[in-house]
Amino acid sequence: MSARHRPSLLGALLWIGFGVLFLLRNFGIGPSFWSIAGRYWPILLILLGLGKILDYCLKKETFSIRIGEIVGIFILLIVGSAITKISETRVARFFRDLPVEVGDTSIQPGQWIGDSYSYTEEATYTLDRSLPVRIENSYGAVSVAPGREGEIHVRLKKVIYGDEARARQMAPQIRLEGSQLKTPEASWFVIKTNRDSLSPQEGMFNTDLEVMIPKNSRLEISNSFGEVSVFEINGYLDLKTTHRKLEVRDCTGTFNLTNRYGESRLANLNGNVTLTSRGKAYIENITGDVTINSEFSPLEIYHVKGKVSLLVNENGVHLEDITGPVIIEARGARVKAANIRDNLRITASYQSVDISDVAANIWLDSRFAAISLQDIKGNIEINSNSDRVTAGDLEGSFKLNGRATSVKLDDIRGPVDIQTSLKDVAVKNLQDNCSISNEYADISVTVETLGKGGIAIRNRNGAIDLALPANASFILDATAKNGQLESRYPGLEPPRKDGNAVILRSKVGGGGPRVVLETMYDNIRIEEGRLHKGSPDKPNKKEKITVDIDLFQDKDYGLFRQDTTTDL
Amino acid sequence: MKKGSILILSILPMLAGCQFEEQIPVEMASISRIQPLAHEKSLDSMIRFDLGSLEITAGGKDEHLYSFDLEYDKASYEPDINYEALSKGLEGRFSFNLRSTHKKGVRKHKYNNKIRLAFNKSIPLSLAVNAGVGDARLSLTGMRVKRFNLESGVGGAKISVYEPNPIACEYVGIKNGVGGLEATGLGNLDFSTLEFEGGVGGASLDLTGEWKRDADIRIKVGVGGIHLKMPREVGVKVEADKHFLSGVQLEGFTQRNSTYYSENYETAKIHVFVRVETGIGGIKITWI
Repeated sequence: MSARHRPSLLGALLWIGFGVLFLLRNFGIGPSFWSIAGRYWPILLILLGLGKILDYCLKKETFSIRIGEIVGIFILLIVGSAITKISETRVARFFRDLPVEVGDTSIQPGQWIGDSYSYTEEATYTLDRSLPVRIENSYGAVSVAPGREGEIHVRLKKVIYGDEARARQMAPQIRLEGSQLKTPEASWFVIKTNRDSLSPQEGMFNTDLEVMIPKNSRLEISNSFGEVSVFEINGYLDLKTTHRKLEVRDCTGTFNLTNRYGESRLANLNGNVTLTSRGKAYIENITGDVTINSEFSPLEIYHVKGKVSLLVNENGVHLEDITGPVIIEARGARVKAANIRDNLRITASYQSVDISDVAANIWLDSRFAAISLQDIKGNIEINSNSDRVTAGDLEGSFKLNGRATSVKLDDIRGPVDIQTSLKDVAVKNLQDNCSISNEYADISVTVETLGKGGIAIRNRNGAIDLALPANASFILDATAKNGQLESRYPGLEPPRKDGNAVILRSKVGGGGPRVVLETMYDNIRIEEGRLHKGSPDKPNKKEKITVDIDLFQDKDYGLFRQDTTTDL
Repeated sequence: MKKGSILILSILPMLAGCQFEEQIPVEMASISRIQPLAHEKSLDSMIRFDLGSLEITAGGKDEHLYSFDLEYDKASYEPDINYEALSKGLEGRFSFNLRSTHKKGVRKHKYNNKIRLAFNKSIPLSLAVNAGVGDARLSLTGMRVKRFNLESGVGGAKISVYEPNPIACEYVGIKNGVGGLEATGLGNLDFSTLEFEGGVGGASLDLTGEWKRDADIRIKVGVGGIHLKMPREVGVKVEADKHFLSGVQLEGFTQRNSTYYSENYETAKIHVFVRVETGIGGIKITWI
């Protein structure tokens, strides 16, 4: 950049100034930046003008102002006035409370606008013995960290909204209270503010509590409309809040946590965790059992060395790397589970269930769900109603007892047992025994290796397509009671008619496992290697009957359309 | 860069300079209440919630007839809560109404009114809900629903029934307002009559579930249109009015005279008769 166009230092000085003001404010020093800016912001325009004069004096240029600058200032004034005007309406409320997600943190920039004054008060209480600590608060954050043994140190930050005079008057009235409470059951050291004794008409304020307690403490926090964060405390932790974040990190003990509507973040906890949540929850690195009751919000769980039990109502759950057994009851909630080292039991409905990389057995009870199973080492047992099941890369057995459930399997090394109706079953690369029955829909099976137990496929109102490996040895017993039987496998004898039925009984390659195929009202096709689409007698797939009546268009004008396609 | 800096530097103080009108101190009041189960054999509930988020779920404890957690802006709203036990204590009657007291002003903080109601899972429930402005989420899974009425207002409404209703539901009535409506698993309610009246917002009615008997469905399509999702096990007969500005899309139906039959109508064990009065919006039926 040439010296001729060197910019003035004004911008840099302003940035530094603002930064220093914000920093001091974060340490509780000095007046609120926004309260100063609110009153004196037009000075900025004056300073910009002074900068122009300075440029003129230093560079000896003619004093001029470009059209772009005039337009810019004009736009700024219009925007500023508009915002000021908007702020006087209810729209301002919307912007004030609008949360913005920055990384993992939710902030409300609107809360920064307007006048507020902060005052702090600190107190240290001596603990005669290791009493459990109870903290009660509302409308403000509570954070707890380890401090010295035998004492509790509390820093209360009072944030008072309104004009400065009223804030100054009100600040001393908001007090911190710490005392020992004895009940027949237990004794507690209770920390709270005197909010309840103050009239709401006296003003709006927040009370943020920063508390340091002995590292090994039993802790109970009851907060509402405020964050709760606890770090590095060992003991029984019973924490409750509403509407705001609950964060617990690096603690050891037993955790009983409740958050109504706010987000929960739990990390690096050693001990059993119980969470009741109606907000988003993110949980990782837990050494112990995890029990969660979650409603209407997403739930993410990673790296748990223990048992996981979840009751999830709507929205979804995602869990990965779980060492212990997993039990999930998901009502209308999506389930995604991966890298599960122990047994997995899921009850699911109306949403997707996506399971992969499971080292043990799976039990699934589901209805109206889309189920995907991949890379499962153990056995699978599914009780199903109207699901769509796809599965692949299965080491163990696959058993499905369903109705109106479609099934697509690929690469199954264990035995298969499927009972369903109304929707198609397609099995590829079968390597073991197989028993399938269906009604009102088709069955297609491609066998890679015949199991010793053989194959039994029965259908009522649907076709059976079977592809057997080349050069296989087996005994075939196929009956199409009211349909056709088409054989393209080398070595099979031709089928014979028996009344309406077509029957084919044949021994191939000297015999072996039994292959039993039976349909009531449809066709059977047997091929070698893989299934070829379609057959000369019948289309590959039934066409759906569709009636599409477009009533936007009037029949009398010749535009009425009615398309009907039926089974071919 | 320089222009950008000037713009940011100028806008920030302007934002800071915004002067808000006199602020009314917001005091959110919280009420949690549990009505213990005494001798009630049924419960009749009428819920009216004009502004805020409404959640209804099945309760966790059998000894509670109902329970609720309410949070509301005390300066602007007043709850009217009544419970009485009639017929020698056998019939419970619960009404809840959160009324506006019409105090205006800008709140320093905004917390929506919220109520979470939980009803007993083993007592037959007649539930009438009138949701005004705000979200309504009615999770009826696990309840014994005898009768269900919903009138939704401006906000959206979600109804879910993921498990079969243990008792038969005599009647389901849904009146949709401006917001969208999404219902899942209505077939699980085991109803004999369902009446739906569409509003400006569109609606999706998923009628899948455990159907146990034949049913009549009467639909008045509003401006927003409606999408019905039917389970394949149910045979469906549709009678649809023909109006100038409406569309009817039926997947998997054949027409006989002026009536449309699903392809499985003859073989299905359960039959549903759908009578549609189309408005400006259309109706679509698909199969699950």
